Amino acid sequence: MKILVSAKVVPDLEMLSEEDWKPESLKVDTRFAKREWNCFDESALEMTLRFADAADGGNRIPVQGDDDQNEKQSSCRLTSFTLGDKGVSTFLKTLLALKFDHVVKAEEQGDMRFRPYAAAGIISSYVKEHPQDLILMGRQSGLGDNGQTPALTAELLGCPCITQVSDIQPGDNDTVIVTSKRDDGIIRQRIVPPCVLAVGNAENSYLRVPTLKDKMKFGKREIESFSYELSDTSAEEAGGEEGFGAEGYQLRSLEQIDKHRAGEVIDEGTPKEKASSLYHSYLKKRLRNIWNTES
Amino acid sequence: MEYRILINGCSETYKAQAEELNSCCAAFLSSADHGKTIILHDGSIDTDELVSKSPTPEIQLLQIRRYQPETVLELLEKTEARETADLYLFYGDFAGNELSVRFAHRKTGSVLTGVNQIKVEKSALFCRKPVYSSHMHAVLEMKKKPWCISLAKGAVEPLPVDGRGRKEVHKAGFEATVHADAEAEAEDEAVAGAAAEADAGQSWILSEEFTEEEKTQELEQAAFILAAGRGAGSEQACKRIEKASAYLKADFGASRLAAMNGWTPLNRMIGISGAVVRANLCIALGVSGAAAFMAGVDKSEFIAAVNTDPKAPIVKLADVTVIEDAVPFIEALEEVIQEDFQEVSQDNAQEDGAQEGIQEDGG
Repeated sequence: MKILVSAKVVPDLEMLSEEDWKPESLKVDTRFAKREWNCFDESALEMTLRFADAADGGNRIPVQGDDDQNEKQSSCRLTSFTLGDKGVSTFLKTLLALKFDHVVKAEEQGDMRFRPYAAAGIISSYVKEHPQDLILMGRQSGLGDNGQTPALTAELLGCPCITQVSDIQPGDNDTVIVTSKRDDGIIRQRIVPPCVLAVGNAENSYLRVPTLKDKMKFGKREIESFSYELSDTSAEEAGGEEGFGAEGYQLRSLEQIDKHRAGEVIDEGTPKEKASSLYHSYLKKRLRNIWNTES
Repeated sequence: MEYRILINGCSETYKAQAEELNSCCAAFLSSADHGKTIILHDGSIDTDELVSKSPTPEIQLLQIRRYQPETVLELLEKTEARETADLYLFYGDFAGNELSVRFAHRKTGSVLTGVNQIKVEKSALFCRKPVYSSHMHAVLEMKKKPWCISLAKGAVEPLPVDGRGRKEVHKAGFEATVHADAEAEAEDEAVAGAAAEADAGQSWILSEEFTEEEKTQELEQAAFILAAGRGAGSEQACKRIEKASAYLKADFGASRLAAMNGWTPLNRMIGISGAVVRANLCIALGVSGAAAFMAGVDKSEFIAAVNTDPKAPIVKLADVTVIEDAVPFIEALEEVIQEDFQEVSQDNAQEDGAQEGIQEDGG
């Protein structure tokens, strides 16, 4: 089973102070924020490692270059694919230490915040060159919050897509058991690959930490690079205007969402005194109204 | 301008879909624009009921055997092959997001998901949507038609549909039954053929089993919510808050981090990747105030927070914050409310007694 996880490294936006949220030239400077895996991509990475553990009994030995050799040693070949800048190397080394067979990086060309079609194009060109059975990625990632890349990748590859995936397990005869969320429940499907899986909320799916031994043994392997060319919407398609990208839209303004409220604080007294103060000053009337309406 | 609204009538959320999309049309489109509602249905919900909820008088019922995105997309492509509208509006759930993106690609149009507002200006569509994990609003100009839009969850206040005068004009899919003319009949047959073909093409799914869960929709309609965050500290603390929510007749919710830790069920999650609530009162306990969570509660009328850190972002984002640990606070609040109720009952009993005394004296 060949599995590719497309994973992105993003700034931790919760670290930014209010002053940092002042856009200049339609950009917010996030360069100084701590970086982390996009949360849904992180779940996809861990989910893939668990799938490989279940398929290979947790005894994988990664190889690079010679896939035939890998197939003899384990039934899964894992590839991670990251579109990013120079700062992602540390994250990718961790994936090498976690025994991904191929850790691939495509260098970001310019501003990719609102370029989901371009991102899907890059991922799908890699997959066309290196066919995969499963392609996993998070359902959405900052900064653009586009939520389009998995569905577009499926379209560009001409294969089906399952969204809101929360678990994958190996099935019989090269099938995969995919668990995903629907509006009113959980659906468990046994599928025949290839398929794009958009990973949503999945509990306890934080990426594991490699052992020091694996870091020394596997973490120093080579990060592979993938080069690509971006294609854009023609000016004619965009009504005679340049700069609309393959997506056919362009960012025009960016403003901070102000969610500030009264911000009153109750900080004195015992828990009971504080609860009493909150109840009598703010909650009592509201609760009566709610309870009266409901009854 | 010609527009289409897509409603997934296979989902029990059809009413919420119709009301939000209706609200979107009323707020952002002109009366000169002409629209048609495409309703997917699989027979699980009565078609008369679905038709009565259509935001437009003109309706196309599209019958499918079961909701499967690949089948739906192939059918939509067929039904929209002859005339393509300028704008396609989809609901902001997972199905709507996926369909909007894939349909736009197939129609070589452009797409934006999670949109709050739209405005048509000259030959472009301007869309406002949250970006940077709901820290910022972006306005994007779309040029390439058709414009496909899926709404942000809870972007607009639901607007009930006045279903009077709704008439179904066309049926298609597996059992096309109404034929206006020969051309329509031929078209129906093509769509029915496509439906069967698309459904048969789903052989990549060998089997599936569905487990029903408590619906997120109920949380979204709750008037009073107690929400637990990672700051609650443990699974036990979350369970204590859940117990308090039952006592206080509140619905129980959780932040993404609490749910991801396995402390609460995932379907209790509030935020951009969970439920978007419009409660009269929301008490957030041990929630830091991350933008993704706040996007799920900021339409609530009143937000009270409980947090040990006076510098936590939620302090400025809530109407009032109690600086305290979640569990001691919620236990104290239960006690305070219980005492208040007892006082009220005693007062009432005394009043009743006095009243009886007056009546006896008077008698």
